[in-house]
Amino acid sequence: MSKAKKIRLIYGLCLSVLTVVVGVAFIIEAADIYYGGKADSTSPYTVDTVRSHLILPLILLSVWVAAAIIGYVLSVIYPSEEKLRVRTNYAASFSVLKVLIPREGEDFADTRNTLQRMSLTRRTIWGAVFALLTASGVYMAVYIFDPAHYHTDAIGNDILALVRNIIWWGVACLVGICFALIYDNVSLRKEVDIARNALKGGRHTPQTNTTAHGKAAVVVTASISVVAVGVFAALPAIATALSHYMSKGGEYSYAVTLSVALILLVVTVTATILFSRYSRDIPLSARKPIHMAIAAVVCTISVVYLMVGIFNGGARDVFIKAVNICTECIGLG
Amino acid sequence: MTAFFGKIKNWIVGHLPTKRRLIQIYTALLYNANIKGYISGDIFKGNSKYVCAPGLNCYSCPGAVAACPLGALQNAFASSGNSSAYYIFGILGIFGVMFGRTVCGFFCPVGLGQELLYKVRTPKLAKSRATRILSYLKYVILVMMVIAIPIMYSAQSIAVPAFCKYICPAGTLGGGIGLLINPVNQQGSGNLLAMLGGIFTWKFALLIVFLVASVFIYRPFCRFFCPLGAIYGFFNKFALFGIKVNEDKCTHCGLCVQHCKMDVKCVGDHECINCGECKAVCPAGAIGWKCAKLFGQENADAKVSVSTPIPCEAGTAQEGHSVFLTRDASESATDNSIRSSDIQGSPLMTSGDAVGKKRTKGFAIQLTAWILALSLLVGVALYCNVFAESSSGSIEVGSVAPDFSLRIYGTDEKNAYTLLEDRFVLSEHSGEVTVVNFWATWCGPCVEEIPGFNEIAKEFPQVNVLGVQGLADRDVARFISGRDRDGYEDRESWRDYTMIFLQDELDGNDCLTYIAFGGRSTWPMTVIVGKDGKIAFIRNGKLSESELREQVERALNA
Repeated sequence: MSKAKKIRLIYGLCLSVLTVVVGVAFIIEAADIYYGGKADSTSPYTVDTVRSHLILPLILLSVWVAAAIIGYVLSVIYPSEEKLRVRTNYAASFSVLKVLIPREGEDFADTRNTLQRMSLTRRTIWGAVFALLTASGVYMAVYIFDPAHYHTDAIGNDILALVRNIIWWGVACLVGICFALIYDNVSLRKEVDIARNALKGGRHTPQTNTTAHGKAAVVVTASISVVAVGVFAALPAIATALSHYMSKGGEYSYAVTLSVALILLVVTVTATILFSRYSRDIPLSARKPIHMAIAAVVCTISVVYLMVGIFNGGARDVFIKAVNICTECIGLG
Repeated sequence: MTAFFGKIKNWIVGHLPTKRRLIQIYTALLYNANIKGYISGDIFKGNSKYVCAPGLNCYSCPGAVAACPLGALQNAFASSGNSSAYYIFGILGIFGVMFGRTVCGFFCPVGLGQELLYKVRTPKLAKSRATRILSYLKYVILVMMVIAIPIMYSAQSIAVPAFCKYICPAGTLGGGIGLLINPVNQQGSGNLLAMLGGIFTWKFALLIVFLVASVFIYRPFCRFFCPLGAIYGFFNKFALFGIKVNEDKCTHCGLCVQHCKMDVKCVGDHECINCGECKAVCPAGAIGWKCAKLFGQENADAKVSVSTPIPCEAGTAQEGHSVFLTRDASESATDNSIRSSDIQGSPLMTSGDAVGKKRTKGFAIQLTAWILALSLLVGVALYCNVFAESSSGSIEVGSVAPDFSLRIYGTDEKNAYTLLEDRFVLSEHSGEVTVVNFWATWCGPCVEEIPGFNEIAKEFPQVNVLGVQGLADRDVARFISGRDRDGYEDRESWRDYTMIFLQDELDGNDCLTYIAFGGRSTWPMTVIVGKDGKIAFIRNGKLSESELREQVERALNA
């Protein structure tokens, strides 16, 4: 390791530690102010309290700023070599190699079976993760759209309860996804090696892509785009109707609301998957007209909304809230 | 020494701000042109706040001259049953169709702040498939905090913009801290410190986490948390301005994705902020701007030449080939590389005269654009700081309470709840303790605390407990009766409450009694007038029933 690199590394590590220390100092002092003053009902934040607690973090911040400036000077004296660290995209490599493996013939039978088995295992794991995500989404929807969880006299407690109830599902999803990613990477690396070894020295001709989704892709993508634009057009009305439906005056049924939410969730996920799959196959000649058509329709709807909002008082509502501060709404509470 | 100064000079020349950086700085200045606000400690109340800024910029920042689209969207959902949803959807749709996530790359001050912090010389956390997965968290936040929670509380007519209230760092830094550091907001009627508690402590800690993370991770808030970026991402593919890839020239080497610090799968997808940094690394010159013709830039970058080859690891991108990062036109390449001679006859190369003319036209267009932009900035700054009038009050505990005479809400002879001609006059109640609570229908905490005030009114019948309504976004009498704008019953009716509801006198957008009592645009505000007619207590922000009881008892025993 060169001298310049050593200096940069040591400096970088020291500055990283200092950055974290400065952040932790600010958080600790803020927590100290809050928990230290909770005994009585008045606010723990006073001018004198804040000033006395800010001294140490501000000193550390000044040191940090000086260190950051030193870093820039060091980068001038010891410039780093510009190098692009490019990661291997095993998924892309495998998709290229897979096409080269003949689909018939005994020479590659073992390779084909092994790769299919490994691919199936990966898909099974991702399927399980997808099921976990769907289950989490359903549970979150059930919880979030239940009006019984919203009490006007304890909003803070409601939000805490919401986080407490759904965070474990979120953690489980994250763990599942991380596991699937790690397994995916390890498996793909092995599959790429297997495919390369099988293709070395062998005569093979690349398989042509026999799927021809051109027209179907355009139809599916255009249909999903129409649905998406339709949802955009109907969103304000949906929000208003939902609010009225949930208010005491309406005959509110939680089961109906939940069913609608779940159907929307399934439709959204399905549409997203279809869109991702088919939009790749859209011919270039069809892509631009579809995009232009969507842009034109959405722009027209937006202008109409703007006009409606100006004439029915929506603009004034935005203005009223922008010139008055609801203090708790911006976190001052 | 000469060599040292030479290095400094080269560093400065090599690190001059790019056009994108200049545009980011410009928009940050434009969004916060109300310099007077930083001095007075009050927010801007001019008519420019009818308009939303495209990027994330809290409206409660003292310098903010426009509304925040995300805050307006949450308030629209929170007030479902009224009309604001159409307006804000129209604004978001227009910004989205025109710019998509170019807003994030060029017009957002929060993005600028994160990018500047990222320049600090520390080890960085590179993107990976895990960060790509994590980037979908912002959609969860969009659904939960921006849409679901405000709508669920809107059914009870309580405005809870959950993202602004519990997460948004722009609100904490620009709005919260921006207001708190001004000494005017640390005392008297403007004292905002007294209302701080758990929510502020949480948000402050979250802000620090975002700032620290920005040093190690590129744009962590934009990538993982920002719902506004999530919304604009829906429009990215078909937005009129942004980055595009010429599929005919693209060799699918993947360098653009590898170089990009955002979690993109391809250039221009929903994670792409259209910063344009991938243009420099594309060896085929396949990446360009949509609507480049407008700025006379088509084929202006047609020069595809190479500079010093930078080796990449084997097995990546194009196997066995070197790949290049180009900065400007220079010498030809070495072996195993894309040579300029290989592309000499390509359609990319144009004659020198044509390129020169296009560059002149492009320069003229850009110069005109900059002149117009700077004129706009100067105009807005003059409007906010010189021509626009501001009105805010200031009053201290111990000063004489200003007298007022306000109309009362009550039931008329036809048994309809409405604003009556009867008035409450403060001076007619001298010798009595009077609690004056300034509230508003659009203010969630205001509505939350009213039942507590009524309990105090019932417990202390000798005390006048008044709820003075300021600027409203709906029919106040109907709201007090527990009905939304369309007449649906959505909450408990306050018609039979012991406390008295009054309507403040309005002068345009100014609430006169509120200002006379030292109001500085913060809601709710509670003032207790003692028996001697002097101010005994002032509190900005929500007041708990227990604390109000304590203050009322103190005033009664004084």
